Amino acid sequence: MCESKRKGDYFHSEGVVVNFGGLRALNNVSLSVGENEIRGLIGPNGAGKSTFFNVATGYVKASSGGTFFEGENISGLKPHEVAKRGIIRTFQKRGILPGLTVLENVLIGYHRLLPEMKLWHIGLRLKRFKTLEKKAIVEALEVIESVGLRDVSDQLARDLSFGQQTLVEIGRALISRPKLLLLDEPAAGLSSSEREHVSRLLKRLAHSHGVSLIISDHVMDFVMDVCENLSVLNFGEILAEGPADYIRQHPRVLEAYIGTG
Amino acid sequence: MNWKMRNWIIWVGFVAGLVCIPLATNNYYQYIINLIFVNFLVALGLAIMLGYCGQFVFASAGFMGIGAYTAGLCMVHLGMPYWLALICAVLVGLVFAVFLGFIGLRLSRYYLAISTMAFTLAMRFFYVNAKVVTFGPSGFNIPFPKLFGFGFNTDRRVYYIVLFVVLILAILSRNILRSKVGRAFVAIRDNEDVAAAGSISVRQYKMLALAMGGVLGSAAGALYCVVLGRITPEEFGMGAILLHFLIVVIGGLGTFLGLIISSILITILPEVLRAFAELQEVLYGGIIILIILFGPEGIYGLVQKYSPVKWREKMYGDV
Repeated sequence: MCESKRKGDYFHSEGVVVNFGGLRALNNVSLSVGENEIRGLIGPNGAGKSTFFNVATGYVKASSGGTFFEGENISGLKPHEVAKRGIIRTFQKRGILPGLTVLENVLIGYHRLLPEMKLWHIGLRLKRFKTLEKKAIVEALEVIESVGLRDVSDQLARDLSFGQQTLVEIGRALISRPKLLLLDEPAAGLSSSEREHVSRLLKRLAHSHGVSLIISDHVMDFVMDVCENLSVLNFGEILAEGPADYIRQHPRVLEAYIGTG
Repeated sequence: MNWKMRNWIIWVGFVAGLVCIPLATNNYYQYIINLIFVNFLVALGLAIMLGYCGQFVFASAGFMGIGAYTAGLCMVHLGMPYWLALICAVLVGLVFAVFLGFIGLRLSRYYLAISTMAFTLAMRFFYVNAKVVTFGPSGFNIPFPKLFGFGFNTDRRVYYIVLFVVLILAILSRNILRSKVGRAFVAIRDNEDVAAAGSISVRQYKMLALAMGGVLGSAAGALYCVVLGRITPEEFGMGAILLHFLIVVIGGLGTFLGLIISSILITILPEVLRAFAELQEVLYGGIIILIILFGPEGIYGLVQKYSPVKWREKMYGDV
């Protein structure tokens, strides 16, 4: 049952079960991610990938089983508490804030790093506020530059293309200095050059900044390129796990994706 | 820094202009101007809750009534000086806002709207019936505020109290909105899940928005009672909610400049149309419908659409 519980696991889930009414969305899902690992989570539509993300980040409560991060049980935490610990996620239906500009959207990600900015600093415009706010804006502009949105940083997020909105969301995730990043279909809607750019960005994040990633996507080239290891979900269960090349030829994975003839 | 200098000059000029207003008015005009300031303040509170944070809180008139009655009754029953009564009013308003938050924010948005409206009406009911304390439906007279022996006994003198309080609270609110707090409010309005993914505690910030609404509303009420000189429960019912709602909607949900313009328009309108006083609420309703149909983003939206200068409020500080 708990075969995934190994020492040194950075993030892992144990026997997670989620029921929506009579439907079992996740069945006994155990998955672990090591430090600086890029893990792909693939599977057909409705396999439970997003549900798994929702459980891991506190948006959905598991009926049984638990999630652990840095050796602590994080199962009962609320979404913002999970985020505070450094588990940052993006959303499949683009989690942008339409009424805010690109810069302000990205600054939302910086919120995690501003706990020492108190209400009286803000209200009275104390020096503390100015220093922190300035640092935030400078960093946000750097991140915007790095995801390639410099020219639109003052535009409202709702006026951007789907691909650009994806980049805004990735920017929001990047600026918050995540320890574990969960990206829900980051490649959807991106052009091939944007895709390449993002994949380089994510690899650098894992290898030089020590961030762990779980990437769920349908774009196989992208997933195979970025991820070292893959987990395959099908009907709410882990079907197979292993390095990309192994998964590519796994008979049950092929069966799940293509169907038996 | 050039823009810093320029901003300072604009600010000083603006405040100096406001200070000089009584030189050019008679008592009637001054009274209207005082009302504009009060309406702006209470609408700002509503705009924070409704426009910025997206919470359907219809308690602006309730908070205003609490402020007015607390300040007035503290002066009448306890003989408090006005400044102390004002502080008491704000504190009581804050307590009620937090109380309302504990109950209301657990509910979904429609129930939040209904429960806050019920709160406003219940408070009015209380003013009417708790005659021993509140003097019942006919209301009571508010004594003139005094400060260091100086009596604020004309509309022009009262204006300076109003100006002082409104300026301070408006600047504080503006500072707070143009920071991580304002961003968090708008994030909650636009998408609570995304806000939470940015480690924003949705409940805590909703509570903060409500607290700000409570403070601004009750402060506005405490000013209102000295502007009017006499308050009755009728001032704080559905009509008042409608008025505040109208100011916020016409201003364009959640913008400062739009709010100032619409406070002026909506306060002056009934004075201009005094001959048709009975039709006031019909008129208000009509305006709301027109705005929803033709300009859902209010004055702010119209300016965005037709003005060559694009002005949008930044949600981060000038640093």
